[in-house]
Amino acid sequence: MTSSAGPDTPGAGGLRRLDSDAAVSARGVYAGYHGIDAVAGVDLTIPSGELVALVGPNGAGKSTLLRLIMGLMRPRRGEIRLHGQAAAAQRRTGAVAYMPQHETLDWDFPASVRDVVFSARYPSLRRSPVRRWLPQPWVGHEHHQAVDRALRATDIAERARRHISELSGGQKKRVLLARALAQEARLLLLDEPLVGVDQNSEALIFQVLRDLRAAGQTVVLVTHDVSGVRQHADRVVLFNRSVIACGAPDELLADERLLLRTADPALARGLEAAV
Amino acid sequence: MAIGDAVIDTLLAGLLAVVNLLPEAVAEPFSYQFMQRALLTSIAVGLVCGVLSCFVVLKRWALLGDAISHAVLPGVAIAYLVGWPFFIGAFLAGALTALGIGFIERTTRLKSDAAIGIMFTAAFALGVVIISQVATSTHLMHVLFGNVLGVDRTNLMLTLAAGAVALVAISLGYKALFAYTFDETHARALGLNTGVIHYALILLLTLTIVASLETVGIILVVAMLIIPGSTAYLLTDRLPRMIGLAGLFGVTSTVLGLYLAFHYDVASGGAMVLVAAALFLGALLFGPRHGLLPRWWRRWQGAGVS
Repeated sequence: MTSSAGPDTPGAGGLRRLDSDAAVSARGVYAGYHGIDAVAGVDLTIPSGELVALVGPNGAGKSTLLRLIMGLMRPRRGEIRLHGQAAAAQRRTGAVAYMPQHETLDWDFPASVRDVVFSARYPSLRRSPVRRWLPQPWVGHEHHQAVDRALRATDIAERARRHISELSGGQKKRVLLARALAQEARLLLLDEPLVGVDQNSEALIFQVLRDLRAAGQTVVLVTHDVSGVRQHADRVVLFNRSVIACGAPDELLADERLLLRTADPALARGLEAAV
Repeated sequence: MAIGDAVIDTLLAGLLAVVNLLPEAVAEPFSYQFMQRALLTSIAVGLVCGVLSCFVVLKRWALLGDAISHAVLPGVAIAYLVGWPFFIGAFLAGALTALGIGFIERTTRLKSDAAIGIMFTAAFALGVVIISQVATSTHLMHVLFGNVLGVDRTNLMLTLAAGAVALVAISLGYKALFAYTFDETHARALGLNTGVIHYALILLLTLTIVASLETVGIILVVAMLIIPGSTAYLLTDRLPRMIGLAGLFGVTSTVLGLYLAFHYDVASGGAMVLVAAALFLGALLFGPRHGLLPRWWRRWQGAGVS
């Protein structure tokens, strides 16, 4: 327990037990690669139904934290629970959707936009003993409708039959967002959904995120886009290896001491400019 | 076994009915029983190798496929020594090598290409040493380069069974395979056990290689696991179509190769791979979207207009 839960950290203050109502609750989490901790002493509670931005400098361990929440990586110490359950159990039921950064993928892969989005239906298809084995066209109407809704919400429906290599950077982001939507998960974890997208795509993505929150879903996004966060997020988590502060965007982004403690001049400037 | 015999007889009869529709000069070699068996084996091998080659190409497993195919040699040799069916020895050796590669990758700082290189050359060397002690050089040649004309009924049945297992597994697990091949991290996020899928795919690869041993041989089987998928990849942008085309190219290569091998009395494996390579060359040059000539033509026309 190094840095969090001070008197100036609203939201995280005072909580030590694992909150089973929370979408995400992490206590004393240490984890990293090759024996070096990328995150150390993370205490974090994310209530259900909120739109939460994870903000911090490059190399702060934000993506690692997402992987931990996802259960793709195990903490060396501490515990993470999603809706009161272990991450792996939540993952198996398809309750957690994940949007990776698009640079990591092979966009020459022989698939259409629709094929990629459809792959997110797998967790719910798996619940049917027969349909899970059937080819894509025969799996039933409701799955295709969920895909259609996701494609429309991200305004990519007219490109559904295109090959994925024919898309611009912003469109690729929207396809991955559509894939996360099509899963119809309670919790969405988005890794840098706003990097490299134009203004229209950015507005659209925030619109989608607000709609998700309105529907009671929880969204956690890693981002550098401070002005967007200030406008749209319910809660900001300033993060640098552990939670530095957590609270409403206006309160947090106005506090200069906190900005300095994020220890990243570029980010601090961005935060100041936004305030 | 009785069911297997019935299946083989039915397939052979069906095949003959098709062959008899062809002009007599073409159909003539297939009046021999050994040619009928060779034809059926070739079709099965071409189809399964073609289908699986799509995943080998997309997962960038070309080197891994080469490794497993070479690594089955000591298995074949030991099975020959102990008197087991060569199928079992080959399968065990291939699977053990795949596991060994994974073990070196996980426990040392070596990357996969070095791990693969070590495991398969060592296993292949062991195979060469054993075989040089026990077998005649003709026998070694047949294992290395294939001898589809010598396929007996037992091997035909094993090849068909292995091929059927591979095809059924791929079609039932298609959706999971798609997620795993395109985006492994996301597949894990969807709750898929990617470790199981990874090793299941390697097991299918091993099974296919072993099933193809008699037909194309150890050295060249990897060509059938890379070229048909690559050819199809140049021609389409959808995975189901790529799989279908790759299966078609695989069958075309093995059947035409068999025919050439019979007519010119050359090694069947070599003939099949040459046909596959010729098809690839065709796709490379003339493929409508990604082919070189259409691309040059479009550029030339674009330059002419502007």
